[in-house]
Amino acid sequence: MPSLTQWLWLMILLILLAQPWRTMMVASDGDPCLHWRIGEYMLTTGHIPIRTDVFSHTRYGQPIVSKEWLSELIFAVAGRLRGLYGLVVVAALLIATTFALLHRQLLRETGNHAVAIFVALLAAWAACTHWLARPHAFSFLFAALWCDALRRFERDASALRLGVVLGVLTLPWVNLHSGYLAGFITLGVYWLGAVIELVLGRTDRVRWLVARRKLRALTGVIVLCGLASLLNPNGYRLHLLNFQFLHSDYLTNWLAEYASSNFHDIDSRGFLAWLAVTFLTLALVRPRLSPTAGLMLIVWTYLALYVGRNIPLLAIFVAPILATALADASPPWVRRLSGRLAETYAVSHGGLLVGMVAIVAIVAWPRPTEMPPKKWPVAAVDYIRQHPEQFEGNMFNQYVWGGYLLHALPEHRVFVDGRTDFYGESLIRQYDDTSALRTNWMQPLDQYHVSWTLLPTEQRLNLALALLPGWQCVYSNEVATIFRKQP
Amino acid sequence: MKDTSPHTDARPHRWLPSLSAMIWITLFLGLNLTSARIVLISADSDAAWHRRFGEWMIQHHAIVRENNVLHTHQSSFVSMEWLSEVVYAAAGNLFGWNGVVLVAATLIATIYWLLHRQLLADSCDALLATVLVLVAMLAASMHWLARPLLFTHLLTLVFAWQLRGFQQGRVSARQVFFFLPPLMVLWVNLHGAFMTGLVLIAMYTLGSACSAWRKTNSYMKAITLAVLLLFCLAASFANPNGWKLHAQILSFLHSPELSNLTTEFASPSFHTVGMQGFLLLLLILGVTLMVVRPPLSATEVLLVGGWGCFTLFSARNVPIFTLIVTPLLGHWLTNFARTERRSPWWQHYHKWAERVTTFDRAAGNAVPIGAAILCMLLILAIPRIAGNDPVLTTEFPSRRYPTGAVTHLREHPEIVHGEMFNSFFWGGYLEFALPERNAFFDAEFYNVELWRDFQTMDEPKHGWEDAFTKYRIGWTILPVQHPLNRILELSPHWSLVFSNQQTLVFSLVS
Repeated sequence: MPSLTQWLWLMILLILLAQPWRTMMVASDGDPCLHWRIGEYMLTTGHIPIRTDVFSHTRYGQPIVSKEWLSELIFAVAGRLRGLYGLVVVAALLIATTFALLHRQLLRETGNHAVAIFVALLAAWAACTHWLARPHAFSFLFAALWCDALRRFERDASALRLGVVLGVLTLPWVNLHSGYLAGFITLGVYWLGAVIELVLGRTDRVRWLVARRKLRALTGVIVLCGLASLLNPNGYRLHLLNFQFLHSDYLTNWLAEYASSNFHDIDSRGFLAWLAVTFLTLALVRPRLSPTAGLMLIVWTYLALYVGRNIPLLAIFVAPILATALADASPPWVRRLSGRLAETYAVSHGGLLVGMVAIVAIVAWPRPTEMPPKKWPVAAVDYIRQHPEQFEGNMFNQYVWGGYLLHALPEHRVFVDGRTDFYGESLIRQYDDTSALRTNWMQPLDQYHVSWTLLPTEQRLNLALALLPGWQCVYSNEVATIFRKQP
Repeated sequence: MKDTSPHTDARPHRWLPSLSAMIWITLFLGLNLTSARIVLISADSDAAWHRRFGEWMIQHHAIVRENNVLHTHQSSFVSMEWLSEVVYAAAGNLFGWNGVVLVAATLIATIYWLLHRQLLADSCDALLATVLVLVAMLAASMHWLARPLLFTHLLTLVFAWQLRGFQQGRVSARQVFFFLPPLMVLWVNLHGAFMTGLVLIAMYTLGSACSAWRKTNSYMKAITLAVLLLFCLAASFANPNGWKLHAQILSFLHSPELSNLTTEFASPSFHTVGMQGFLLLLLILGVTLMVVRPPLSATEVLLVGGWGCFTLFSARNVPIFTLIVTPLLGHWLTNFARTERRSPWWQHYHKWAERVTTFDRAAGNAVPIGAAILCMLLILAIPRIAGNDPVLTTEFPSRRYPTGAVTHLREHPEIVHGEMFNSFFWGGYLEFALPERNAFFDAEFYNVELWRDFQTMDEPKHGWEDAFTKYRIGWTILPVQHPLNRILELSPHWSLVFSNQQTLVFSLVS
């Protein structure tokens, strides 16, 4: 019989491999295709990591700070093997493993099977809106490992183990995804918590000494991880780029995934439930939280409210705090339920069975995974490939479609794609001015010698091009419309 | 409600403003005399729209029952805030936009004055009460607009105070039955969000029932509150539209298009500066729950959780959440401060708090507030009586509203023909400033079909020309950066008849 952790791992994996989730993971935005394409380029040319842009005509030849080169390579290998389905498998394995690890951590910390599975499922529900086949799935896994290491340090105060584990984790994380910053934020919160403990414990010599030792250990680990984070192909420039991007109010306000959650969306119900359980735990259970736990709760709740894409990180980092509080105050019936679950699942011999089911699901029944033609310009791309003579010169494309077009039309360079930080504020503003038909909307088209456009049919720019002398609609269906400048 | 804090009658310096009075005077004069008065009326154009309706009702001595300001929706109309519109319009008739600002500033000042008095009455020390009121002001200030919703903020505070007093045994059942149903009659005629009061009573009823079920209270309170809820519900039908008002509001709230209509019905965006105050309040609430660990009653859990949830759905609930949660925070923090007297920090705090509270008790309210009102009335009234120009000029700013275009259209009405198409944001302003022309759309939600047609034209999307034909649009008045202007510039059927840095007016070529 598999353990609850193994059941959870298998359940998440199978859900993600099945439809409609499988398609949603690759087709919710164009970034899965974008990362696959960049990884594929690196594999084909041997330019690992990629140093200059070859995908856009607006920034062609300009130096790139590759933030996710390692995950792009992994996705590209998976893509070579199984196409888009390969990307889904990598992401599904990462996500399922993350929440299985989280569940195991909760179980170890609380000893309460019922609470552990409840909080793990709640965390999965809150986080599931960001389950996409993109490099940030690596950050979920590393966040869970990072959190586990810090929680262990809280219990056993082993500075050496913390330093080794976090140092080793930093090295791949910094090359896989820029979400490594979440690890540093969490380290900073632990450091601040230790400072508060030091101040509060000044009247108690033993407590003060413990806090001082903890503070010294955390300071050392921060320095160590900081140095380890420089071991990436771009060195300090990677950090610089990330800070520049986060510092740009325009870009962080412009990107939909950096927006605060819209609670009218059904997708946000998991996060709402998470917030409700957090509030009820604080209000009814009234746990005695350490300064570090309190700070973690405040900082990550704030970051998740501020930016929707931080919700999975909130769930991963804060789940152990909630679970511990709930387990301490669990009523007798929950303890009885936990006892029954422990009797059933305590001794696990189901690893082999779960592994076989997973392998069968991944290998034996791979169904085709495609970009849905009702949302993506699949037919328009076919038309372009059938009539290459009509499409010479530079393209103007929709931002979200950029990644897909890199993958589907590698012979053409895009105007813009999901690498917002690479394109920078000035080009994104130009793109936005043209898309929104602001007064200077034609200037970017002239500046970048755009000779054809590929946009959603509902895009307002199509209406203007239809009236603009010298432009002609050469293709249109319900999804996409192509305008071409007459020579 | 009486201030039950001790020594409230010890006021040897009645001419000196108490902290509550300072809050009132600062807000009242600050909002009237600084550029904040422009923001009050022009943050959106609803103030103009409400004034236009109010003026119509004053002129015709009747309640508005038909929409006569739009050419797209000239059918029966359920007015949700006729009384406040009349109040604003009457003030506007007396002192122009300064009069509208005067009403709004008085309401805002009174709300936070009352909140401060409530905290003091709840045994909060004056220092803590003042800090909490300042945080509440910061959180709610994004919705300080000269609109009927200010009446809802005031009445929410009064309802919450009365209900809390009743739950704590400070207010008798007779008192709440004497106060709240008549106040509900007033509320239902002042603003459409009167349902806030009903939700509050329902939460107290449910909370009391939970407490009774857990045997910490008797069922009598829950039954009394349930009866009060029925009385207030019955009172809410005392409006010119009867049950139709409730039906209109419920259908409005259930519409999926609602959150698209304006940002205030959307979830709060924590990227905006206006939300920093709300974040600060949430931070204080979170720290209080984690550090103070107050034992919350079922009602308090419902109030904080329920209104917190409503606020995450609609940013316009932030002030209501603030006004409901601040007294609870005051109560929890006061109890905590009383038990923490050993550490030097707390001793220092208590010393300061006692000094401030002593000063506050010695000072007065009525005299300084009366003096501030008198000064303000003199500033507004003397130029009017003397026939001079007003001291304070309060108008819609030309950098955000099409004031130049409106002046030009009044001087040259012949340049446009047919019906108007306007931007959403300018609808209310145009209804007020250009009453001889009917607007296409304003901030009110009329029906889904009109809203979708408006979106087709405003985006613009395919089919915008058909929609223009359907509504017989002959001219447009839109901000310069509006995308439809680019289409009209390229179209041979439209010609530009007015332009300045703010506005473009296009007319259909006949």
